[in-house]
Amino acid sequence: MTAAITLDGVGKRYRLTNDEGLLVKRVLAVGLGRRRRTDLWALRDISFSCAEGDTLGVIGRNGSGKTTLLQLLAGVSAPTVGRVRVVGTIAPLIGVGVGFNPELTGRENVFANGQILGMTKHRIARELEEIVAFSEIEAFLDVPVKFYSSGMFLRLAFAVAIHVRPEVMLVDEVLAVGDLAFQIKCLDRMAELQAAGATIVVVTHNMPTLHRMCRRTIVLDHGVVAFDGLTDEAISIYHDILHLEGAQRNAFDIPESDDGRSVPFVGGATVTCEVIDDSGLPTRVTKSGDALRIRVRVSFDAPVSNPVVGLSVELQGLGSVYMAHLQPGDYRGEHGPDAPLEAVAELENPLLAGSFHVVAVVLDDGHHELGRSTSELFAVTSAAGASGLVNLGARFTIDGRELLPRQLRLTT
Amino acid sequence: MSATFDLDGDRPPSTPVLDLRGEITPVSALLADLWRRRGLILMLADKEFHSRYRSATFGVLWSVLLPLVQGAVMAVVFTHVVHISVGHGDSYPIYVMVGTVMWAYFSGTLTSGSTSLVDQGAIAGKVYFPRLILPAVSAVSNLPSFVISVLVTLGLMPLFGAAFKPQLLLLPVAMVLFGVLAVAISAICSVAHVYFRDVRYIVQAALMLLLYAAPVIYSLDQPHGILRTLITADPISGPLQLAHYAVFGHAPSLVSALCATGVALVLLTVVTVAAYRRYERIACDRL
Repeated sequence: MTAAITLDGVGKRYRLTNDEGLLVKRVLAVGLGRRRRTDLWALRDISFSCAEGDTLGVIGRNGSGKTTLLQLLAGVSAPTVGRVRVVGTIAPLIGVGVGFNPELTGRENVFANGQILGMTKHRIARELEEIVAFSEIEAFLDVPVKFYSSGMFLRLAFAVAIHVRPEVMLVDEVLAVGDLAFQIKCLDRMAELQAAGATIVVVTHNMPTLHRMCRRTIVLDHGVVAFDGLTDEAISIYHDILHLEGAQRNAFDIPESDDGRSVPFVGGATVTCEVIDDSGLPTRVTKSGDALRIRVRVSFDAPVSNPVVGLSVELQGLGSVYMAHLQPGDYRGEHGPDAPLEAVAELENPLLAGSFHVVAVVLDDGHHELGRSTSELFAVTSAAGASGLVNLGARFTIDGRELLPRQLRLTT
Repeated sequence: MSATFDLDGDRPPSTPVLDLRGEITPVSALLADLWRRRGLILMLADKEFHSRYRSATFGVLWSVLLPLVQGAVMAVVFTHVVHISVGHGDSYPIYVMVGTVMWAYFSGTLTSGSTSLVDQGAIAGKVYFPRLILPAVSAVSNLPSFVISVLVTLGLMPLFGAAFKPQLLLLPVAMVLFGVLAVAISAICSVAHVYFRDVRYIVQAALMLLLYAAPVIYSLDQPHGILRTLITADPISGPLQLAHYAVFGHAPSLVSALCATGVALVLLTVVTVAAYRRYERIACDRL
C-alpha cells in the first residue's frame, strides 16, 4: 500500500501581532518601536503517514492543533517547517455549506458548491437526483436557499459534500448535522466511502463515531502527537489527558451485544420495541433522570407458553450499557397467533446525554431465542453542564454540611 | 487507487499531489493548480453575477445603467457647465461616455477584486483552490454589464454624429487590457488586504484620484509638460487611449501610453507571482 498522506517533521507557527492589521498602524508601531509579536506553535514536529484506503482518527482537546492539521492536509495552509504530502484529489468535509449563497436556489447551490469541492459539472448533473434524494429536499430544489430551514440547509450541504467522492476525505465534526436519522444515514454513507477505498481523516469529539469509523487514531495534545495507535488506546489516553478516567472509559469495554447471542435461535416471533412517553406514545427524546419506558410487542407464529422477555439498552455504536431479563417461569401465560404479548418495562434513567437504542429479545421457556428487535435511536438529554455517561449522583460532605456538586463540565 | 473512483471517468489523468515543504508554494504548482481549476473562474463569476442582481427587480439593467448615467452627467456638466473640448471635432459626450464606461469596469473590478480574498474567506479558509481565481472572478463577473454598456455607448454614437471607424475592431483589445490590468492590481491588493485591512480604503481613495490622473474626461492633448508625461505613464492611460483610438480613429500618445501599460503589466505580473508564491497558502492563516 502506498501512503496517501505523509507528514514529516511538520510544524506550524502562527504570528500574532498587536497592530490589528492596519497598514497605517503597522507603520506607526514599527516606527515607534512598539510592535510586539507573539509566536504560537500550533503544531510541532508532527510525523506520521496514512496508507491509501485507511481511515485515521484525530482527537484532542480544543486548541490542540486538530483544525490546523486538517488545514495543512487540505492544502489551505502551509507548514512553517517540515513537509506535507497528500496524493490524490482532496475534499474537505470541513466546511459544510461552503460557498452556499442564500440568494441562489438549492439546485444552483448544489452545482456551485459541488464544483468548489472539485466535482465536474457533468458529474453533478448525473448525481443530482441522488444528492437531492439524500438530502430529502426534493420539493424545495428550485427555491432560494434563504427560505430553507437550517436543517434543510445543512442536509443539502452535507449531501453535496458527501457525494464528492474524493480520494482523500477530511472530515471535521460534521457528523453533528441534522437529526439522528440523518446522522445515521451520513455514517452509513461514510462506511460506503471507506469500503470504496477512500482515505479518510476524521476529527471528532464523538467517541462512538470515532470508534465505529477508525481502527487507528492520533491523539494531539498541545500541538504534538501524544499517541498514535489503536483507537481504543487512543480514546483511553485522550481521557487520561482530560483527567476523566473512570466511567466514560469503562463504557467502551462492555462487549458488543451481538456477541451476547449465547442462546440458540429458533425464530417464530416478530418483536417490535419502542421507547414511549407517559401517554404511551413512541418518543425519540427522553430526559435524564425521568423514568424510561420501553414497550415490547410480540406476535407469535405458533403457540408459545411462558415466554421470557429481556432487553438491553445500548449506547450508539458501542454496545450494551444495561441488560435485564426475566427468569423462565417469572411470567406464566399462553400466547400464539391470536394472542400477542405486550410488555412494558420501566427503567430508572441515570444515563446522561447520548444516543441510545434498545434491543428486546424474546425467549421460550427452554432458553431458545424466538426473535429480537432493535428500537429506533433515541436521545437522552440532560440539564446543561451535565457530563459523562451515567449520573452517579455524588454528594459531598464538608464540615458536616452536605453539598451537591454541579456536574463537571467537559471541554468539548 | 480503487476502481470505484475510475468508474465515472472524471478523474484527472494524473493524480494531483499536494507536496509542501515549508510555506512557499512552488510556481509550477501554482500554475498547474490554476490550470486544473480554471473552470472555477467562470462558475464563480456566473454565481456572483446571478446572486448580485437576482433580488433587484431590474437585475442586470442597473449595472449597465449606472455607468451610463455617470457618463451622461459628466457629458452634460463638462459641455454645458464647465467647457471641455477634446478637439479634432470629436464628440465630447461620446468621448466621456467611452472613458466612463471603461473606468466603471476597471474601478468596479478593482473594488471587489482587491477585497476578494477576505470577502471569500469563508470558502478560502476551508477549501483550497488557487487564490488568484478570486480576483479573476471579479473581472469576469463584471464583464456582461461592461459589454452591454459598451454596446449602448456605440449605439449612441450616430446620435452624436460620430461615425464608426475600422479601428473599432480594436475596442475588444482595450476592454481585455482593462480586465487584465484590474486583475493584476487586485491580485496584489487582495493579498495585501489580508494583512492590512485598510487596503480597502486606500484602494477607494486611489481610485478617486486615478480617475483624474488618466484621460477619462479630458484629452491627453490638454495637459502639458511633466503632467502630460506622468499621465501618459499611468498604466490606465494605455487601454483608455486605445479605446479612444478605436472609437475616433486617432488618440494622442497612444504608443507611449501602451508601452507604459506593457511595462506596468510585466512588473505587476512579477510582483503577483512573487506574492502568491509566498502567501498563497499562509494568507488564509489571517482570515
